[in-house]
Amino acid sequence: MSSGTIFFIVVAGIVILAGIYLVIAYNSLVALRNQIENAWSQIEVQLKRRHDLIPNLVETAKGYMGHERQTFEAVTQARAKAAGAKTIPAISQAETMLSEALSRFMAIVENYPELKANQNFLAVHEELASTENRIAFARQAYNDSVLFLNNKVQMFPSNIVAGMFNFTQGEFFELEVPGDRAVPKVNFG
Amino acid sequence: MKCPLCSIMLISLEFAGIEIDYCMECKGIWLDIGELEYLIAEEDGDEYLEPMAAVGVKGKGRACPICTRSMKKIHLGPTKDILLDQCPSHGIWFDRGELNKFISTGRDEKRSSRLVQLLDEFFPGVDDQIEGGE
Amino acid sequence: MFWSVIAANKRKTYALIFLMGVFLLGTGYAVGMAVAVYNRPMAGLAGLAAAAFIWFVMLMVSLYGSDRVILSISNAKRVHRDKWPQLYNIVEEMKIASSLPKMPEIYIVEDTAPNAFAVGKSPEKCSICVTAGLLAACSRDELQGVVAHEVGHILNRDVMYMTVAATMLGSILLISDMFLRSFKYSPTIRFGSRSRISGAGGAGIIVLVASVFLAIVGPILARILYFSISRKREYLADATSARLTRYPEGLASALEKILKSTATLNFAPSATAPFYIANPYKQHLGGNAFATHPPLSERIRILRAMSAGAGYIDYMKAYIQVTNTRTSLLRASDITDTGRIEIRQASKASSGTELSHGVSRRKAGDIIRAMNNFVFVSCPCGVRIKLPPQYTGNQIRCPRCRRIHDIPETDNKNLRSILTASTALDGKNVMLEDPGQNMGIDLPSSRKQTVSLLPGKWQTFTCNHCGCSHELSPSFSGRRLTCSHCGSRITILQQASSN
Ligand SMILES: [Zn+2]
Ligand SMILES: [Zn+2]
Ligand SMILES: [Zn+2]
Ligand SMILES: [Zn+2]
Repeated sequence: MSSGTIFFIVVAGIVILAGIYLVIAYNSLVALRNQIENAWSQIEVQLKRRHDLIPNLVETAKGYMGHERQTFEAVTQARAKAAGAKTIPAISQAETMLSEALSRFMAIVENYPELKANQNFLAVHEELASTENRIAFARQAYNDSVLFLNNKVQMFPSNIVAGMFNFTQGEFFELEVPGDRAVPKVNFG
Repeated sequence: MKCPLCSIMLISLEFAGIEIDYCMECKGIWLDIGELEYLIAEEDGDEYLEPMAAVGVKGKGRACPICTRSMKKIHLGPTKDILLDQCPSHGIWFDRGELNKFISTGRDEKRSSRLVQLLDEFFPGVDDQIEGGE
Repeated sequence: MFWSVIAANKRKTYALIFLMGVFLLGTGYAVGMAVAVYNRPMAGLAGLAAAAFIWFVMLMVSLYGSDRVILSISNAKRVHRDKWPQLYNIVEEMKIASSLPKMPEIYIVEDTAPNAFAVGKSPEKCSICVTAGLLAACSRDELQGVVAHEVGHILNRDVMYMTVAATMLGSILLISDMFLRSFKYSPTIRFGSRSRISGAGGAGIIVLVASVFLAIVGPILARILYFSISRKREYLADATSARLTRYPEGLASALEKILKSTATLNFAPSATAPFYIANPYKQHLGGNAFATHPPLSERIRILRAMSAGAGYIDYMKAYIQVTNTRTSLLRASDITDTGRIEIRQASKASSGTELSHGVSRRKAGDIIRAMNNFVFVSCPCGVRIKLPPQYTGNQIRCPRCRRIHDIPETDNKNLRSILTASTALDGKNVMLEDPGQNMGIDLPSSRKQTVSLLPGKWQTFTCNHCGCSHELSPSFSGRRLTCSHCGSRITILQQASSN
């Protein structure tokens, strides 16, 4: 066997291996992108659910806390803004503001024991609380996938494949809820 | 659950943290196992009530509302003048007025007063009838 | 989800099915041989065939019907969303958090002791069961912690192994029980002639030999099952719970309530216990029922020692710190934390009130009643009347105040509303506005009271009649109240409001 043939075989081998790698890397990137899309649609479902619940909440509360007009308006406005947001950073920001408005609203509700005992209000409140939990859990799954994709897009050698097929970094979905960053609980005893 | 005497359905009544099963017909009261201890414990601390088999009582026992097996005749606590029906695994049956009588006799006046008062409040009508009958 | 644990559970499940087959075939053959008089090999083969058939049936039952069987013996009732929206929501949250492929079915067990368990042969098809006692005693966060613990068992395939094991061993016990029963109560055997028993291949002998054999072996098998239950499984499910909920305190305080309730008199209805192999399910959260369960107090301490975060890593650290052991719970490859998992804050919705044992037991009773279509009538005098569905008549007279109430149609769509209604009557600080302005009865003056409202301030006052204390919010706008404790009527004097 001449050295030329050996050289040819080696090169061919490398090309084939590179081809295989390309296919695998491309497929995993696509899978990841789908996973992110899927996770994002989960979040959107829950965000939509939250938007749908708010008019209900306001309606129920109005009868009991009529003179808290600004609070209602703040919530309604924040909801309208959040419903209109399109890009992920805009949604992040608008939803954070909505969460803040809601938590202010809930703080004021504390002063209305009769409202707090109302069956209708309890039901809406439970749905809202659950929706917020779901958003939080879905967000975690989404951000985990985004982190994974971003690592691939940035790191060698998958970054080459990502560059070839125009894979861009995903955007994290942040939702800063006041007080969500809990103080670590210290327990003595 | 059926009344051991009248075999109509018992209803449950809850008032001020006390719950009993009650017969609308004969005004008897059923307490599930542990319930009496719970009632008494609120007043007296952890007093354990040792049921004492009533000797020399004849006749077929009444049917336990839960398992329908026949219940034992017992005395409970310090007094011997009240004869109760007990299913060892389910609870105790008190005829009309027996629960009040049981709780108010043989005990410190002050300690039992709240419970007796609650029971009186529970059945003002029953008491009237008992008094009226005597 | 811990891959090494999952693999171990799968291995154990297959091993159990295999061992059970070997054991049954051996038994069948032995019984056949022991009984036969004339044609020994044939009898042995017949025994073998019978055993193979039993094994096959057991396998089918444990693979396709086991959850139904266990659920029905545990007295569990399926509930849908509208029956208990909060429970459904919590399960769905945990489904999202754990990426379970399908929503588990939800069951409520008619038991006043707080507890929970899960059944099912795969994460695709599983059920989560909580007792009425748990629902009555726990706040939202606590319930979430318990549900997440059960989801942990599902993810780790503990549930798969336990379900298969319970049905396989349970059916052996059932068969041996059947044999014993027929032996004990069948008059032909008990009082039969000697010649019949010693007769060649007599049915009596088969039953006798098989039943004696099974009676000895059954309990041994049950023991084997108990020892095959991993000691680590509860810790691992706790770790999953902390990680999924990001709130270890929820499970910790739920376990504390379970611990307290088992410490006090336990009135668990004994009617639910005949299938005792299924008891590990019923008891597993309750712990201490048998030696394979780590003590609850230790599990609580570990959860409370997680101060840095809610990840697996944090649980492992807390575990090592509390138990003082060197052996780790998990392999490093099982710890799949992505970054630091922070502990979240307690949810505001949680009603973290400490209920006395009596109160939560009563509430649990109400839940069970509501599940069984009892009708609840709240009398304005403070008595709650609970009518069984068999109660006939359209009206009921309150034994206390003698008001006559119409009996409404059963409307227990939302079981939880029963609970909140009874909270309203228990809670010392919950005020009930007089429902019908005219009470119908004239109360003595000792049970009437007037309180003047201070504008813009919270205020506390005591009921003159029963001495319980009540709170009024600054925004209280009612004019009349009924003391939720004694039924006294309180008139509120509104002063000129400030705006
Ligand atoms: Zn009766
Ligand atoms: Zn009984
Ligand atoms: Zn467990
Ligand atoms: Zn009444």
